Amino acid sequence: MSIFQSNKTGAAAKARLNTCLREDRTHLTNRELMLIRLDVLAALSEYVEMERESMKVSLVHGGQNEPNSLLISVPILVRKAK
Amino acid sequence: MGEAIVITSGKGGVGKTTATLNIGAALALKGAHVVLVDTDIGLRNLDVVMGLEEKVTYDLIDVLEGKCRIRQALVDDPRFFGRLHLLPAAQTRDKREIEAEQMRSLAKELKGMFDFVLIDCPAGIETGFVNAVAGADSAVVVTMPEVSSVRDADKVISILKALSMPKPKIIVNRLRTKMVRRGDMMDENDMAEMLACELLGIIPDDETVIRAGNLGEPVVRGTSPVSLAYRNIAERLQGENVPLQVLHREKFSIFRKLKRKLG
Ligand SMILES: Nc1ncnc2c1ncn2[C@@H]1O[C@H](COP(=O)(O)OP(=O)(O)OP(=O)(O)O)[C@@H](O)[C@H]1O
Ligand SMILES: [Mg+2]
Repeated sequence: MSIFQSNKTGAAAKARLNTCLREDRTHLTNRELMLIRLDVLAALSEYVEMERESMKVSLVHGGQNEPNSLLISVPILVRKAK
Repeated sequence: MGEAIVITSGKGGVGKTTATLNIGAALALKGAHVVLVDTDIGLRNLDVVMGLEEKVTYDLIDVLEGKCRIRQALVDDPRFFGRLHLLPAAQTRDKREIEAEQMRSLAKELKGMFDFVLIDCPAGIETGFVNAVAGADSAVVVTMPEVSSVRDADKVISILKALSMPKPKIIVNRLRTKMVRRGDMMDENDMAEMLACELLGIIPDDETVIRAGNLGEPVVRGTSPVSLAYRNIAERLQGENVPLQVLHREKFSIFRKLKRKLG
């Protein structure tokens, strides 16, 4: 770790704002999001091995006239053997 | 026919009144005829920020109730050669005394008299907000670079959309350039992207604004970055293509170069 490194609170603010806006715009509660995560993980786990802990759910802001998207990403390790 | 623009925000205290005055003053300096309308009924303060509090005789509600003509209620700012006027809010009345339809016809009349009608909106999203927005052709949303302020701005943007207003433009006020540079504050592009709105301007946090407020003066005549920021906004509102100032570009320093090399 660099001797100059500090905690950059700007990035934290951006991440927290993203969470707030996701809640306000989608009206999805944290509990509902957790259920979505579990459902997606269950569906994917039929086919692939994943880094479950690294799953991310974020709001992608639409342009001037485009809708927002909910982006769910999870790193995939290998295809599951049938 | 002039243009009516409401200066609004979600959170209070973010700089709407200061922006209304300084954008109006900058437009007046550029030769436009401008009226500033204070719609913060019961909490009027645009007159005080302008240093015109002793000149107020009639107010917005007197005009709407027909107690006086618009011209009688307008306060001329003598520093702007008859090009900057104020229509003060009532200090002792209730916001609910105004109706949206009255604001619409008042704004229409003012647009016939001035090039720009800048409407200073009260904080919050209640009756006062709805009335202030009613007469406007477009909106400018002021936000500070903080999570709560941007979140509330987003709420207001969605209400403006529901009211069929065109997409508002954003002013990021009180940006602390050093904090952005060291990664401790969101920058203006982060905010514009999240709010999915175009930036109208970035205003640095500057004690000049507070000193000018103490004296009841606008800051637009100075040479400070904050004066330039308001003048640029005025030019953009007049349709000029003025690039956004980059307030927080990294300055060259040996220390910073060393820091980058060391990770
Ligand atoms: N760029 C700036 N730099 C420093 N101080 C500022 C700046 N802009 C505004 N302020 C200060 O912030 C305070 C609040 O500003 P202002 O009254 O314009 O906010 P407002 O949004 O109109 O508030 P309200 O919601 O109560 O109507 C004032 O003391 C003002 O001097
Ligand atoms: Mg105000």
